[in-house]
Amino acid sequence: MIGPHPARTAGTVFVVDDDPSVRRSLERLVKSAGWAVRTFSSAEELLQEDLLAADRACLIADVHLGSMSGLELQAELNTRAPHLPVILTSGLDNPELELEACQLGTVTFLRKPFEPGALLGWIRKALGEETSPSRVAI
Amino acid sequence: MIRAVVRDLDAVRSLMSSQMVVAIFLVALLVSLHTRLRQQDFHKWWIAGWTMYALFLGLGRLALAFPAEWTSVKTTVVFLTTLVGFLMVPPLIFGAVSFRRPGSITRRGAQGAFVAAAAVAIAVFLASLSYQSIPLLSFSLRHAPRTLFLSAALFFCGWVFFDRVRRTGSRAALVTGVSCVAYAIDQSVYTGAQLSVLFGGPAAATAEGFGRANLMATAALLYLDLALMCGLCLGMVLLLVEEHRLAEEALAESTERYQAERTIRVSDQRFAAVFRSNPCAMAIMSLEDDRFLDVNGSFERTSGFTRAELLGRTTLELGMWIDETERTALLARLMVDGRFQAAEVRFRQKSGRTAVVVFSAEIIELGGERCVVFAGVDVTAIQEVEARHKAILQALPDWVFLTTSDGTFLEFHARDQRHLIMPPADFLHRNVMDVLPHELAVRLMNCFSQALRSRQPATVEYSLDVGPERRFYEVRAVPSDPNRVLSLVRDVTDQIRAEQRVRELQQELAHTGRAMALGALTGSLAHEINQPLSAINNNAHAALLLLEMAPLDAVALRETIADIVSDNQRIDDVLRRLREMLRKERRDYALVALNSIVTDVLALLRSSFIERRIVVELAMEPELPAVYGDRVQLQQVVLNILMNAADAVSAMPDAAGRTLTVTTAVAGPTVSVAVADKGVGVSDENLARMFDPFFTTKPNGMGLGLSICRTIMDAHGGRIEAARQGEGLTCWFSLEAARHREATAAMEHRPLTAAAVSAREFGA
Repeated sequence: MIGPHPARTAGTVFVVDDDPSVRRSLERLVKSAGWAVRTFSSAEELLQEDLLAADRACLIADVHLGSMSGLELQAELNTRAPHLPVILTSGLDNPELELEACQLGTVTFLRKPFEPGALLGWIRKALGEETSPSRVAI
Repeated sequence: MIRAVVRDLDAVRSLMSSQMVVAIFLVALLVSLHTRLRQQDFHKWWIAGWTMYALFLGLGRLALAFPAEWTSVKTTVVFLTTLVGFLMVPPLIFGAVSFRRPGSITRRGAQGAFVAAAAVAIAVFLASLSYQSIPLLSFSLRHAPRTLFLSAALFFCGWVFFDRVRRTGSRAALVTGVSCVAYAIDQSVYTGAQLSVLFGGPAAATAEGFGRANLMATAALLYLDLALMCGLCLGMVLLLVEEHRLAEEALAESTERYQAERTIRVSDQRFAAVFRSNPCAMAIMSLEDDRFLDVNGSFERTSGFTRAELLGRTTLELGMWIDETERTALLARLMVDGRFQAAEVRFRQKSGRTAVVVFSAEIIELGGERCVVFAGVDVTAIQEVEARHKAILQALPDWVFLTTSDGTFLEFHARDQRHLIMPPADFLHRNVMDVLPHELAVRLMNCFSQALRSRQPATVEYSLDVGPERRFYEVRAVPSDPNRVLSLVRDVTDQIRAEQRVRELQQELAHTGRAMALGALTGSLAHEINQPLSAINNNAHAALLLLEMAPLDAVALRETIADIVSDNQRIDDVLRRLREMLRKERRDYALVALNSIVTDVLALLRSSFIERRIVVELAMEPELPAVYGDRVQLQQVVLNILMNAADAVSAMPDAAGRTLTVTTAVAGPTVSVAVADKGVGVSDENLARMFDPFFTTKPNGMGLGLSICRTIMDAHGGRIEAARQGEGLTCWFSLEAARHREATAAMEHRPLTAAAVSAREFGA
């Protein structure tokens, strides 16, 4: 199941995380799974991008970001780029956040540390490459 | 013949002069007798008599100088001579009478005698005038009666003096008496000669008669006169001596009597004074009927009764005895021994209170009556003080030792001697240095000499192995007088153990506080670990995918593994800090850099602050001096202050409101850490109670965090405070910088901390 897919280059994955180490690890993981990756350290940075230009894309964002949180970003994207699927992650065990995320139409809410394979599965689904995998959570 | 007469007349004149001088001397002696000794009529009369004799001799000598014719001057002189010659007789007789029986001469009798003598003198003179032509006859007419009277008077005087000799054996009286009688005989011879002239008729009054009468003028007779005069003088001198001796004896006797009287008077006065002003209660009671005869002021005060209430009444009537059998016993002792001493008796005062009186009594005789004198001291107050001291000693858990300044044990008090470390016989009257271990004895002696020198209590603490366990003692030495020290020794083992227990409990409480604080952080701490853990997972998964790719991208793989290692380190760091803060055991104080503590704590709080979007601004003094302390406990204080501040600002809407400023600073010897917020602030009332245990404004708070912080700061000798600043609150704690603290500690020879005190003193 886990394997490189160098042929699959059509999709682009945006990563927003303020933790550089986490950001780098996600970039590596997504890249080695065969997708194009673009990383941002804050929500504001991401919003400067022309998100509508990307053909097939999805977003992985941490809930806890400096000034604008992941949830606020989701709400913003719901108006600006409604087609962009969002996967939210959090290091905190907070069901309220999870509920809020679901209400905003998040693809999924992953609690760190999540199983990398599960994340890749959710990316594939977000990009419409396969049917929904079973949800993986810790 | 004429020449012989003339020659004889010259001799008569000079002998008369000599006699006069001796007479004057005799008068002088009498005057001195009169003035120096007892003033007696005898002296007075004889002074008069012999003065007249001296006058007679002087006038007689003058008369002899005149020529034969009777001029008016010669007549006057002769008259006066005759008058004086007669007038001298009564005083001599009066003198003798007074000598025999003083005061027996009346004024009238004396006047009569003088008048009679003067009358005779005038009559004789007038008769002699009619025989002017026959000088010898005229002379004899004048002088025969005079010498007759004089000799009679002198015989009388002689008899009086002999009578005195017979009665007292006075030598003066003997000499005077002999002189008087001899003089009387002498005068009788004159009388005889003159009478022979008178009765020899005119023939006798001629030259032949003169020849016989010449006898009277012979030098021999006049020399005898002179000698007898001297005899009288000798008699008077002896009388003077005797009188003087008698006077001295009388004086001595009277002085003695005076002294005796005075002694009695003084001793009476002394007794009265002693009785009146004696601080002892004194009373005199009749032995016969037991009634009070006299009491002093102290007795009134001691008994409570007034003098008027006491006098004439008995102790039984006044109900003064608490136990009347005591009275019976004391009375029996008094009757047997005549006295008793220092009997301690309880008396009832007028007010009904009991007074303890120690008193003595003695039977004495006063004005012929047998009385009892009581003297007592009210020892009620003294006994009360003694009883109080005894009670205080009894109540003291301490052992009390009295030692000399050189350390010899004199006395001791112990409520229970079984707790002494050695039996009293092993240390009493022995020296500290011989009884106790050397090091301890030296410390005790230092303590004693310090107390004596400063006249202030001095303390020393020590421990001894007593049986199987080590016990702790505290000695307080107080100088009781310049040469002795009173030391109170207290077994403080239980107290020391309790203090140790308190310290342990404080440690536990602090630990609990830390655990609770970290418990509140569980979520954000999990986040702190979840972040790197998540990164590690991603990286590991990516590494596996990279390994399957060909060609192998070694660079990417190495970077991936390096990230895994570094994220692992991140987790390690978090766990290390957590472990450290949750450690329970006590650590020794060490040098601590407060800046690193702030950094460490902020690392633990990072996730929590990120989650709550709290911004921390740091203003750290880069040259902050180190402090002495327990690193974990100081971290706990910083953690609590920061979490408190975060709670205060997390509800603020804007980022500025959610900003905390952490400042570290140094001011003089003090290092401080302050956390300022712009949060909701607190009321005055809450500010005052912020550090009290169980005080909280949070719905789920226990109110222990800040109170534990205060306990920690107290143990560190520091302070924790809070003050409002604008809208928000600033909370800070301060500590003495380690280098400064070391310096002061070295200067004062003071241990660094309270914990170190007991550790050092007790060698624990």
